[in-house]
Amino acid sequence: MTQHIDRRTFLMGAAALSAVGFGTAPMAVANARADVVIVGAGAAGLSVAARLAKQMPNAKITIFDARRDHYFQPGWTLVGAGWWQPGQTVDSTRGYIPDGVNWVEQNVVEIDPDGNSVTDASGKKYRYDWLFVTSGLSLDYDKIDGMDRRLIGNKGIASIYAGPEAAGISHQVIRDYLKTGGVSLFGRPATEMKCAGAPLKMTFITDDLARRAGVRGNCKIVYTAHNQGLFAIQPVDVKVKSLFEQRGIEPLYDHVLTAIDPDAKRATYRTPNGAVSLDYDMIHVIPPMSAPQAVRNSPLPWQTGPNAADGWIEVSPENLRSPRYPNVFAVGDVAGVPRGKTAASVKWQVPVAVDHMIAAANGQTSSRIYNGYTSCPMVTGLGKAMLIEFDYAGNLTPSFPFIDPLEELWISWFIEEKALLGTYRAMLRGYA
Amino acid sequence: MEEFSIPMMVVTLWETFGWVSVVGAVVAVLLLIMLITAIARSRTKGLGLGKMLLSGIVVTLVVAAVLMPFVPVWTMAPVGDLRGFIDYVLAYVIALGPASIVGVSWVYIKSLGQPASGQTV
Repeated sequence: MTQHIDRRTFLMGAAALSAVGFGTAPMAVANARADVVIVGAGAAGLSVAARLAKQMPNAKITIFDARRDHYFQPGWTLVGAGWWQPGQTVDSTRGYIPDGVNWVEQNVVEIDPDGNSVTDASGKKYRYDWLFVTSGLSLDYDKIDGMDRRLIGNKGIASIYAGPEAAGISHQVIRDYLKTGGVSLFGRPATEMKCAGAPLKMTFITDDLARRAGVRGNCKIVYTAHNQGLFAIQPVDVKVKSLFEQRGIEPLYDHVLTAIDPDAKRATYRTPNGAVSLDYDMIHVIPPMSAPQAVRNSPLPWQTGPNAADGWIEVSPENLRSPRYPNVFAVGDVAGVPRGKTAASVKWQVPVAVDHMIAAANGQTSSRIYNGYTSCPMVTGLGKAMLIEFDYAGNLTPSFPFIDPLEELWISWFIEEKALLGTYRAMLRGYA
Repeated sequence: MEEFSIPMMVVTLWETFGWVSVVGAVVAVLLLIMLITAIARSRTKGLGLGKMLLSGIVVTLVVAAVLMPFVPVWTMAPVGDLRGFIDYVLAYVIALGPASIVGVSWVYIKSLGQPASGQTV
């Protein structure tokens, strides 16, 4: 609590710096008295709340989320590697709720964009003038036959996606595997997923841990790709394939995990040639992902196209605004945009979406555009990473021209290990 | 980067390093005061200012070079685990932080000395 007050006091100093003119170009402001509802207090929701609190001072802002802990999810690969402790990725949501913003500690269970209202888990209905859906996504472990998130940590099953504890337990599973050796299976689901680089990172990390422990010869590491590629961006795909070859990691293409038999330690995959079963000693399971049920049950998702099946919200990729419900925006993982369910995407989506909403509240239009920028610091071992940044078009868009995105560098690791968390937290406060 | 600002930098540093960033800022101010004091004192005593500052810079650069391979340890990586040219540049820049403490202290201590015989006051 003391730290929270100290932090807040310190940040007030930073706010004062802005007030006396040390800020940048003035942000658009709307003085309208509007009801703004934010569904979800994850990275996107808190960032939106922080910006709206500054840019819409007369608005009544309400944010919904039952979870009291805030997770720095990009850190979970480091926890899975055993390099970070789970607690390093956990923060208090309360500490990031801006002054003047009302936090309802309930999840939203119903969204009615036709009636401009949401209903929380207690059954209470809230009307809104503007809605930001920042609910994140649903991890559908149950869509893999035989899989249950309670299995994580048992019978050779790891999964860093299920939370900080699961990431910590996953490290134990990897450590146990390195003692016994055998076959380890990695892979990714066929659905859209958050941080699509994480499955590869965990593969590289396990390889690195095995080498450092001097047991790489006992370990057969297999990566099952859901299609013919290892990464959606072509030059990165070529690089990762080359690194896999150098490190003796075996790729299996067109393999989608459909079932798991934990007792037999056997995984079944859908392939173009029918079902294929593989025995394993350790498996890192990443579940299919979809929009949360409240979103899927609403009229907001895409009705056709690749984003329809899993309920991702239909928005303009350039400004995150719903074309059918112009007072609705979706930001972060739940947004049905061509690519990029990462914290880096959130960092660039939020200012654009908020700017468009503020402009609309003022009866104007904004010209700001989100180009799909996203980033993946691809950790390839302890002390090395590739800082991969790209946009909707699949172009590499390095922020720092002196950092080669396709080279394993310590500077990229430095950014992942030292700089990312602070930048992320600043983003939650409406900076960065 | 279009929203880059001093408050953003301050908040990011604070959120990254917490109170260590404040301690770092205080140490930087102290070093600046020590340096100004040393320069003023050397002028009063008629010590060779240019030579003294040059030796301080050399000490800083040499200490930074010595510390550079140890910088990766700060990020849990092994000693000397640097790969590309840019890694060495960043590690050296980071090492300049602690090295400047040694360099400024060197200048400060030198300024406490007496002018060499033959030098005028």
